[in-house]
Amino acid sequence: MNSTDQLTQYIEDLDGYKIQDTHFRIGSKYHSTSFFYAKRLFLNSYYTSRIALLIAKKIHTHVSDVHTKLTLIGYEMYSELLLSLIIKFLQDMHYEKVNHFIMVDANDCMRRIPEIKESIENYIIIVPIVSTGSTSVKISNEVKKLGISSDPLQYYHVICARDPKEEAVLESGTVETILQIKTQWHDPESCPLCFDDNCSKPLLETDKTDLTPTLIYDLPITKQLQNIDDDDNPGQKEEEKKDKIGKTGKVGMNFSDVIFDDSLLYKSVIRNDEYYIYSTDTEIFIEKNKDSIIEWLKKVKEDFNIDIASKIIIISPCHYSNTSFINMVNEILFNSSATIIYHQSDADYAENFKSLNHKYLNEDKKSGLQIYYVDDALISGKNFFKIYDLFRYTVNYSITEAMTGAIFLTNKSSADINTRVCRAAKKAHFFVAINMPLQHKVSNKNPLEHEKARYEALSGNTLHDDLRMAYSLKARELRDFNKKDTHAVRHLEMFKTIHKVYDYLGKLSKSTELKNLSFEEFLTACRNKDGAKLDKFVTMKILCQHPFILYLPVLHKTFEWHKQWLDETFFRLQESTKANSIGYEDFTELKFLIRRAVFLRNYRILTEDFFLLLSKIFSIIDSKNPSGSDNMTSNEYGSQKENIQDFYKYLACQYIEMIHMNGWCAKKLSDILKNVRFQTEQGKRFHRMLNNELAAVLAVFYDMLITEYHDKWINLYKPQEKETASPCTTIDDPENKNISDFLHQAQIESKNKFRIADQAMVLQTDNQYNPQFLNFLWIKLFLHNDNRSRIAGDELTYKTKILFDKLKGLFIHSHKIGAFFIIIDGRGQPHLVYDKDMYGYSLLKNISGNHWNFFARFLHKGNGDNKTVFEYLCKDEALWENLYNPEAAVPFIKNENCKWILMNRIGDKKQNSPIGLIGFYGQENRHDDILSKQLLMLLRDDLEHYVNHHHRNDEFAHLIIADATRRFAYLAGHGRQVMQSLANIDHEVFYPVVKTMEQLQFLFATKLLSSRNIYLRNEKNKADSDMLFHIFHCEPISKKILSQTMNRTLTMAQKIYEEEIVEVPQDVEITHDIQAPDESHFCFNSKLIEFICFELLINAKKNRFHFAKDIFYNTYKIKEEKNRLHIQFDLKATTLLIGIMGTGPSVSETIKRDIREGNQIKIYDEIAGLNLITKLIQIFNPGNRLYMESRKSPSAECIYENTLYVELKSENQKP
Amino acid sequence: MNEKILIIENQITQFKMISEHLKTNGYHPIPSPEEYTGFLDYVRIQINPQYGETYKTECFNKIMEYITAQSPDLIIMDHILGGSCKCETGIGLALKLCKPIPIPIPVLFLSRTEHTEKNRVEEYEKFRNQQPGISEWTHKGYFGDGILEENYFKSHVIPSVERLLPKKKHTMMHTYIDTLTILNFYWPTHKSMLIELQKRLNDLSEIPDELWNMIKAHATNKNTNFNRSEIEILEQYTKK
Repeated sequence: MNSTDQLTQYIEDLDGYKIQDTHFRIGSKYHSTSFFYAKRLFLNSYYTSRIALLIAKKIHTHVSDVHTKLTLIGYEMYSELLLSLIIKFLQDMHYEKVNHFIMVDANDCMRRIPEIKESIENYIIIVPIVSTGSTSVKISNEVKKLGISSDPLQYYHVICARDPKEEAVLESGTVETILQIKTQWHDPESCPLCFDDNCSKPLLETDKTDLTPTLIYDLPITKQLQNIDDDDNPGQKEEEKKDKIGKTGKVGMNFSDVIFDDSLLYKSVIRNDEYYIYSTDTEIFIEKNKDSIIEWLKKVKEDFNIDIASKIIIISPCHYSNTSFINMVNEILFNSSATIIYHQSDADYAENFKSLNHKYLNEDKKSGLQIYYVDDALISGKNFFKIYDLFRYTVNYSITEAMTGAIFLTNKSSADINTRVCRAAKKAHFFVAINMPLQHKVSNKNPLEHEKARYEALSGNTLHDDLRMAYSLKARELRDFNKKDTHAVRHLEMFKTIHKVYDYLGKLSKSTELKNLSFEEFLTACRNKDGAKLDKFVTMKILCQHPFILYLPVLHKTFEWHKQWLDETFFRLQESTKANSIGYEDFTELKFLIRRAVFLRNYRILTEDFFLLLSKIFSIIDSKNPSGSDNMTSNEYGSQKENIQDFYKYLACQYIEMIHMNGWCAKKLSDILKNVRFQTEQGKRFHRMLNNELAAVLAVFYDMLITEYHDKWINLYKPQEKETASPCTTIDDPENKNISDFLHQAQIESKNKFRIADQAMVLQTDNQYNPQFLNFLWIKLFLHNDNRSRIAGDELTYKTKILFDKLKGLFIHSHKIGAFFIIIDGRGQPHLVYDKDMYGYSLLKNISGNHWNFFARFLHKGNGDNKTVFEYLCKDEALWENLYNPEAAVPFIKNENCKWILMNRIGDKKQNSPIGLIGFYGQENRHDDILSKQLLMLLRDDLEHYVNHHHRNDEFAHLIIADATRRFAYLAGHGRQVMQSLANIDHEVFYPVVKTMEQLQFLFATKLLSSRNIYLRNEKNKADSDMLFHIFHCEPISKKILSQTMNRTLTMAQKIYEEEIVEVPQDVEITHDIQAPDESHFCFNSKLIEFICFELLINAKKNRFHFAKDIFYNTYKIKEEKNRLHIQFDLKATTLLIGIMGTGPSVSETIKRDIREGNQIKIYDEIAGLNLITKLIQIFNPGNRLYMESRKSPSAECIYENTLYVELKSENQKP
Repeated sequence: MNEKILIIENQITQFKMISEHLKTNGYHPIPSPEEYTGFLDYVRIQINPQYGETYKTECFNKIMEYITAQSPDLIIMDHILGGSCKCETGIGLALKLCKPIPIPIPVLFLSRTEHTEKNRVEEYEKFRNQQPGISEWTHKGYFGDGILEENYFKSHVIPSVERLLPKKKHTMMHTYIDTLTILNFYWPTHKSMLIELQKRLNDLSEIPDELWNMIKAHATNKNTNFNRSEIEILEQYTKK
């Protein structure tokens, strides 16, 4: 070999630290075609010492004075070896004062290890590997936070791996790079390795906790075992045979001959503090394979050549599952003569083991002592090695005192554990060997725990209740270890497939052998001896899961196979959808492939043509008359209906997972959703849901804002000095100027997370932040800070008001938006806590019971569906179209300021029940204002917190009580002084009316109307109504009673007009009329009739005509200066009409309509007068009514005869 | 003392009570009980949209005649004046009354309408924008049994009255200065203006510092260029 060859060979033999032709995420800004595994390189002193010497020399050249005090600052723990070696070399060069520390990036927050207490004078930053150099800048900034104003003496970048097209952040003369490596980077937004189907590759990344790629670079290794029946090489010497047995162990049965049915446990076993995806129930396993096990044990007996007369000891770990097997072994191998020593390794002391068992285990070997380790399963080897070590300790590590052998029912261990156990036990026998997935930790968690945490996080970060629920159920499924496995057959199949795939991959000598295989060839190659090819669905499924997804060659191959399969399916379905038909199997296949695409990050499903296919599938799903007999929507597949009908949710979940894994997918989706139109309902739902969910990227940005700028951000509106003013006033910033200044100052535009959110949601226009976005940030900040305060009464009302002013600001042209906020208190009662239209008036305050039902179904768990957003558009008159379900038009209020309405349900995440409803409405349809809906969805959790914080506790209960008291006082305030004065004037006439009114007012203020005037037709309300019927029970109203009532009414009328209790005394001309048959079936409460008359009389006086002195005659040339009053009762068989006519000015049609419809007539009073009468009579009978008729007086054109009628019916009347 | 206070209140019992309380505290309430019914009829007709325009205009003229004749220093105005119909409120009426008067009369809104009542806040805001600094809002202080109790009136209403009464002087002063600065701009010889100023200002006693500062700021802002000697004269006339 010549010297060139020798050099080539030397280089070839060097370790490699580069993964090339790959697709790696570098930080958040780039995707790279190669990955440099710097950590491994710098942890190898072979390389590090050379680099350290080089840097030490460079430092010496730069800082020649050896008395200079130097601090070296490294990055991440793996630079510790490099730094300590540099210090060593510097000390060798006689530098006296050199120290160092490491900067560690923990959750986007830098911290120092160790905390150096000495002062830092001159410092040098040494970063093992850089890309743009931003890490060095970050370290330098952190150092400056320690109060050091100077710049570092020098930056050393040991390896700089950068795309030459990209600029470095640090280009000053203070940077020295030791090794410059060129690589190719792609912008994640348009990375061809992500989005170009021709060259796409699976995206890889490092584990955030320790910068290690979550990868295994080669193929799996399987256990080396031989079959118990296989004779060793006949020519092999006995000594060689023994040696081989010691290393391998023997298996009794082929995997495929063993019966696992019923005994397989899926993710249900916790053993040795580990969670295993598959395990076996030993009792059932033995029962199912009893004969085979007995046969195998007999062979084992032969193999061990057991002498029953010898002393035999079985050592076993003490746990619940192995006793049957141990007894079986004792019986068959040793005729039940063995002494069994159980050891509970987590409870028993080693000293006790020795003192208790020393005598047994140290017996003379010549006496034939045999010691066996027996257990039902070998998995991690922890139990075996604990006991083996104790045994060796007890026999004082004697060379002659060794274990005779080990017997296990199942061997599920990894290749290394298997070899170690076989070596230690000398002879090891296993009934069956199973290839089980290794328990690699993912982000410091076992795979299933990690998966559970991932679903929980998705549930927390997803914006729709439906999808939250879906994720939450998945997490719950994984958490519930005791749940019966409902997919046992599928799991058994997966379990067997895993074994076979492992077995096959373990036998491949090089990954290149895998490279040339097609998926079909692979399925055939993995077949077992009975020749059955593996199921492609099951195989693909397990290949996309842990642990196979960790093996780099397997991952690449799986990605490729999946891509091909998906393409084939795509084109096939594209054809079949043209005929408006798709089979259920095709449908499930597509679903299956979409799910795997998410796991593999195959962004083929993020293309417009793929969405067009989805759109067609949705059309078929929604089609009432699909063609094709095997069409998935035909009745044949009725049982799968739910599966098909929920396809949009399933799909949305998949894309959401993609967004959470890679934020740039949101941008891609945003573009696609703008271009692809979905024609049918499911498609539209999917489109809408996904559009809203894109907002998740803004939530990620906000988290970054809180983490990186925590103090600055949360104190943005903090008063400079301690102010006594309300905290609300300090955050009054209509233009959100503080926020936009802050964002500009922090250069947020350059942050990757902002870029993603901006690209996906358009947060800027012409370099100006959208007001909607700024309002959103204001609300987030406000609610974040509000969390800390506890306020009550008017402060809460005011807070809610300013919060809603900003919430309206989430819409374009917010001044044209009205809003309301209904919350459900801790007792399940709804309250209207905010209600203002664009002009400041109320929309819902006076809605009737039927209209209230419009909301009620969104507010109660179990009523209506579990949807989050509702949007309605007024189609004609009072009929509203559900924009998310056009078939479900509902009646609702008619109001010129409310033609479109959007409602978001606020839910309690923990209880999964609604706790409030937030609504926005306006004259124009805002259906296309997507950003506002996205932002609102993002605020749901904060609003949930706001409601829980303020409204679902004692604070709000007190507010409600205070409100009710105030309202009662309010009602009484108007009437009571009048009534009491009247009662004083004429006790006999007015006292009964005073009493009736007080009773009614109390009932209405505290019982019949809930707080904030929402009239609830629920069970509680029924009980309150019954109380009203009990107090004012109905009686037959005879002609006599009516005459008596008329007399009292006439007296009341005279007094009311004469006295100055209700305004000034007035002259009046009173007439009356009674029409009543001798017999009538009409029933009502006579006290209430009297009360009604009283109210009508008061009303008549208040609305009398005003004859202004001098002016009336001058204006109208008429001399009439006296008002008239006419009282009439008209009793029929089942009705009574009360009419009170008073002269007055004309009455507008609006007022007549308001009286007729029971609307509020007075401007401010909540309920009194006519409004009270309407509500009262309608509780007795919804057919009862109050109305007004008005006609010109025959005597003067300017004067009107205004008659208020109360029509009472006793048909269908409540008791 | 004995400043005249016009009470516009639609409940006669309330009117009587307010009148009594004002008298007790040394003020001169108008209208008299005898005038009340007639005066309030004008008010009721004026605020009710259902009466004919001619009739309403005549009534408004009668109200203005009364105000001009009586020249009250303050108006105590109820908020809800119109019973159960959709009548104009006291705020709307106050705006109308202030409009034709060169020196607006301060208004104390005395109402049982809650301070936080939604529509009231916006409506009152409108009044304050048009007539800044001359009004206050005070609650009547009752919901139930008591009606404008004497103690409440003394502790909550009288302080407002006391705060608002000098506002009339302030607004008068403001108007004089405004007129005079315009004259100053067009009329370089200030003599007659200053004589007028002296006369009017002497009618007003005790000009607070705050007002004096306002005069100076006002003069500067309007580019009226009072020179030093003129300022001195102003100071002299206002005893500064």
